[in-house]
Amino acid sequence: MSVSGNKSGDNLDPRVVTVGLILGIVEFELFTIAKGITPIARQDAWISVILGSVIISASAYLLIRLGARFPGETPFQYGEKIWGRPMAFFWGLMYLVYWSGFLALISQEASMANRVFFLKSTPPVIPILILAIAAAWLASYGLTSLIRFFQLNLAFLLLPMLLVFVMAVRNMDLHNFQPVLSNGLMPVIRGTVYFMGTLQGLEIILFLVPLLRSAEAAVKPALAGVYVITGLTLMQILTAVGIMGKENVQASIWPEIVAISLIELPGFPVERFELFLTLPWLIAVFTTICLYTYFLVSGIMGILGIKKRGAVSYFAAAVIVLGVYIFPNYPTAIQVRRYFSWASIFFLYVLPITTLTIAVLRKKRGGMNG
Amino acid sequence: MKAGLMVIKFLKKTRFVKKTEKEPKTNPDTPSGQQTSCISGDFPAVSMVDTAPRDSHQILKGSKKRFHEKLEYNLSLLAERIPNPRLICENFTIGSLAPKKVAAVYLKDRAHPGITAEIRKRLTAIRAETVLDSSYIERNIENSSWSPFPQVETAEKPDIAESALLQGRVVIITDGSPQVLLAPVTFFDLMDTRDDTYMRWFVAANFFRLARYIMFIFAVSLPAFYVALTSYNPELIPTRLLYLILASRENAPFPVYFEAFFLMGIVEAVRMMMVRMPSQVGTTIALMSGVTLVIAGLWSGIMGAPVVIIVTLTMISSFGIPSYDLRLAVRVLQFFTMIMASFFGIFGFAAAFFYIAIHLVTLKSFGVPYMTPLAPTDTGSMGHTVFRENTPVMSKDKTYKPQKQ
Repeated sequence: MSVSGNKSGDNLDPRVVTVGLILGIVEFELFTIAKGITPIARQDAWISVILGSVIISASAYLLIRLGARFPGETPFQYGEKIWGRPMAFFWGLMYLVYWSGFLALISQEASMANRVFFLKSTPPVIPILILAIAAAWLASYGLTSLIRFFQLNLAFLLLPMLLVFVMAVRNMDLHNFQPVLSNGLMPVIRGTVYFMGTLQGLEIILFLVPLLRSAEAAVKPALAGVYVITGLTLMQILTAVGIMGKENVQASIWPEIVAISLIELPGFPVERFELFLTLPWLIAVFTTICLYTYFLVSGIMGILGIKKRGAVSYFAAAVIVLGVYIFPNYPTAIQVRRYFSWASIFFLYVLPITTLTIAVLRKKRGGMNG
Repeated sequence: MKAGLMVIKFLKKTRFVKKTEKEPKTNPDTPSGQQTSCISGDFPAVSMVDTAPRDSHQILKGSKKRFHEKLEYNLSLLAERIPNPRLICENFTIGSLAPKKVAAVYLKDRAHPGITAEIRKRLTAIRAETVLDSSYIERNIENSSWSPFPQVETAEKPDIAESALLQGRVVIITDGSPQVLLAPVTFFDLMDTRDDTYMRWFVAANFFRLARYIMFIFAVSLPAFYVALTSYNPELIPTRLLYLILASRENAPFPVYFEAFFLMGIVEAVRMMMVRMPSQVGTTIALMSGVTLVIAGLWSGIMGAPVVIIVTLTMISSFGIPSYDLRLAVRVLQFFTMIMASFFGIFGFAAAFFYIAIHLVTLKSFGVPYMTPLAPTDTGSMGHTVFRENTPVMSKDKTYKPQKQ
């Protein structure tokens, strides 16, 4: 079986896990998460995010433990050892469906946002085609190149978001977060589960661990990555709820962007602060599309045993382009996305942790460490 | 489409034939790849005219010596600066009809054996009748001749070559060329100037280096960003600025992108004019022509003032890039980003940058990732590459290490 297409002889620095997680997970949903989580946890959405980050950190640690048990092996290779060939093949197919579905969803969202913000009269398929070709091109170079691309773009993602948050602080109203826990703990817990489901891309840990110089050393970078994502999510929720209030957040389509557009800083030469968010938004969407294209390509090669990486990459590009046409309208896509976030709980946490548990119980380990 | 593919196939084929053609590759008198120490008692004499500095750029600090067209003299310059037996010189003779001497110089135990072996392999693989200039060697040994980015650095000053040798790089000297090649190279080597290194205060050096990075981004993106904002998303421009732009374009007959392309074209024409004409009159005529065209365009209302400001800023920024080859790449990429921005606005502008970034992260120079130490990130090496750290001696890094992927 193919080694997921990573033919690199280089061992990556474990610190790449941080950048891999940030750029891989952060995508358009970051700018709409307030809309998804506020109806559930209301003004306590920020508590849900903090609570969720603790559980996600523990999950990230367990994913690294799973990868570390099988040094140099991809999830598809050790999946067969743990689950047996038929079950591993079934789960592999399920992941392929999951990744394809996510790619289609994200391309639909990117297309919609692009139509609203940038290209109002251009057919949506054209910009998505441009992104899809670029994503397939990058994915065909493998995960090492993908991580380099992430490293190059990290500052362009983080700095504008930090800048916007600093500017937004002045306009936030703390009353919008009060009273704390007035609806009890259950909405917060449900909000936590929802937040956990939005972190699609966490499985990058399983793909990165075989390439690392030391899997053990990846724990701290992984935690750092999770905390940075938590920080960014908190920033978005605080900005949206703090400026607009929970009722207005629910009524808005893109609450974070609307909130940013309400910022006023007299004397500052910039008026429309949402301009600062266009760069992180485009980078976040593109990097996530690239990562999922890579997952899909590796999955098809690893599970179905197809060797032609270039052809598979451009097939993945076709999935991205078709994504624009799968959903009849944007509200349907948003609805499907909600269900997808719940389904992600199974693919991101339940299945990998169950796999680790079975590996421990059945004393399965990789060949390299006996 | 089919014709395009045929052209690409043809070009690939000709390039392939060039490398595999069975021609006598070496002069039998001079064995290729022979390793000798560069240290010898001889120091060939050259005329005063040959050593006088050219005006390709100003020299603020440091040696004014430069390389000469004579290979032996250039080797002596290096040997004079590094009088150490570990300074190794590998001699090659390239050309079947008019053979030229080429030397690869490196410091033993400093240069990575993988890199020296790769350079040796690529030099011996060159099949040509002659080598007119070091640029012929350059285009034959670089990783991708399709890439707009130079994968080998050129240098005219022995101190730059010395610094490269001490960092573990290889200096390739071609007989008949006053420019030597330094390999491998990263993007940050091309943004480096020796003034940064010789500057006393590291804060100022870092400030100017940062300014250069900003100028690089401006040079690639400013006209495209202007076109994208004004053509597709004017609502993102601050209101008062937008009013000024609209007022200046009130009677303009052409769309913004046309103005931008037109002016960028004029800038390129003026540049070419300055290069091709004698220096005594060339600068004056070029400047006069450019200024006259712009003033006439503004007065007649054919073009708006903002686009003139944008294009002039872009031109100034492009001169902040120290490497001529990199500047050349930027001048072409400006048009690529402008085309994308003209068709797809801010989205196209971002997409153009994604394509450039993908190319940059997948490009290599002799196995060394082009964007190292930024991507792959190696914070330990940034002090001597991306920034200039505060050290009493020249810092050494491990940037020049080939990677398989």
